[in-house]
Amino acid sequence: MKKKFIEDKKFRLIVMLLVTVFIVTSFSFAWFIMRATDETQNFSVANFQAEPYCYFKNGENEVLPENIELTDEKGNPITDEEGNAVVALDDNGLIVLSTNPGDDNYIGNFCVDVKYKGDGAGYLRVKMVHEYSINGMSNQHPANVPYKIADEGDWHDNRGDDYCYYYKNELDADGDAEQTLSFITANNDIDLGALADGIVIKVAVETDMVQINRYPQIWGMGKLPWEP
Amino acid sequence: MSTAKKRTVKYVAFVASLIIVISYFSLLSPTSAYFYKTETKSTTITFEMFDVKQTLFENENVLKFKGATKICDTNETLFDDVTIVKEITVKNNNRVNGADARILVDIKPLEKSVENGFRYVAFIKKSTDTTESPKTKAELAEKFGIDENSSKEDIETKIDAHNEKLRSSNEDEDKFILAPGEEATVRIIFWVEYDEVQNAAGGESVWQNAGSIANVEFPCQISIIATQDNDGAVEDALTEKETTTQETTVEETSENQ
Repeated sequence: MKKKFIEDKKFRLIVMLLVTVFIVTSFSFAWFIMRATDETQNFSVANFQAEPYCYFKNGENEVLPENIELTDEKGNPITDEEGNAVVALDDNGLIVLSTNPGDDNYIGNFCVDVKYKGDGAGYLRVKMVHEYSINGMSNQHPANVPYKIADEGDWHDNRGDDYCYYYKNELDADGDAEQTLSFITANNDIDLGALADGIVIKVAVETDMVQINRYPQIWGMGKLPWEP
Repeated sequence: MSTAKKRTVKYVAFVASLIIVISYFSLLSPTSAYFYKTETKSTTITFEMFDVKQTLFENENVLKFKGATKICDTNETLFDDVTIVKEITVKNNNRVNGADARILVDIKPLEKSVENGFRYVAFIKKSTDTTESPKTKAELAEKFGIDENSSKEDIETKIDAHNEKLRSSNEDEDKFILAPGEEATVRIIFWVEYDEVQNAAGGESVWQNAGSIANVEFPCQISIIATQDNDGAVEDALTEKETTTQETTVEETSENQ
């Protein structure tokens, strides 16, 4: 009876299948011995850049300094020795500011934005160096120009120490998309009482960004100027 | 040989092979079949019964450093502000037969990541361990004995040796074992050395105003491995990982081309 059962082809086939299934299953289980979480993660670091965007705002119009031709008190165009029109951006990159409200380059129309892009987080400062002159003679002027600062609480005026305004928040750039931060806005009510009559003001605007962890070394300060 | 004898031999062969197969698998650690990990959004990995694909840092395709730094620069006091610190919880959830699991942390910066300044250090501790793993530069300095006299080579040698122990150590005092039901936290601190990444960025400084934007990427393979608690299993696990890493690198190279 037993011999017949072994000789049965179906029985042999079933045994073969069982053994095969067992082997496959067992090897699968064995494979789990050394399973692991396994993932490729990308990290990145990037630099950033910031630059000032200076213009004069007359009503709704934005005019760049290089497109403003200067005029004298009588409204006549000012020309250089070669007869070319003198514009509100000189050869040294200084922007000429007028104290006359009728001029396109009137100081009350002067605006500065900061355009920045890249990645990473940094602190921003804007250095504003002024040159004063009366009747063509350079002059020292004790008063800081009373600019109107956008979101004044976000900025620290440190001009008394290093000619700079500091943006007090961490600035997070977002890749290649350029972002704009408003800094100086037009101010028709600007109080020029402290500035001498006939004064000519020229200003150079520079931006400087530094990684949030590197200002002690790059800017040479142990703490940020607004920190106690 | 008679037909009856041949049939008997075949039958015995069947039974013998069945016994061999059963014996082979009965000699394996009983924990083997029960390890497995799942992961949730809170980055918890549980070793259970089956395998699933999981993501260590879900929804974070690229982790962006806020800036570059330098561990051996003792004047760089704000190191902690720009590191990326990740914590992953692992648990031996083997509820079937109560076997231990050995945990390995295998991190491999790929391509030119290390050359371009990418660094890491990993720590693992049980949830019942009240001592805190280092997180800040001061704690790292204490752990690795870093001071103003430490050279870059000294520091990197110490950190590399530490990381290597987490990856493959078979020494009793170094291997990390989780009993069933135990949890542990893997803390990994990543950073970028500022002088090395500068070269990769085409000479542009990455810490201050730059003339052009340069973005440097650091692919890194991160693995948390659970094996049965024996050295052979560890070696097998790492061998398998090596193969996987090489395949991944080849695929990425092909894509770049």
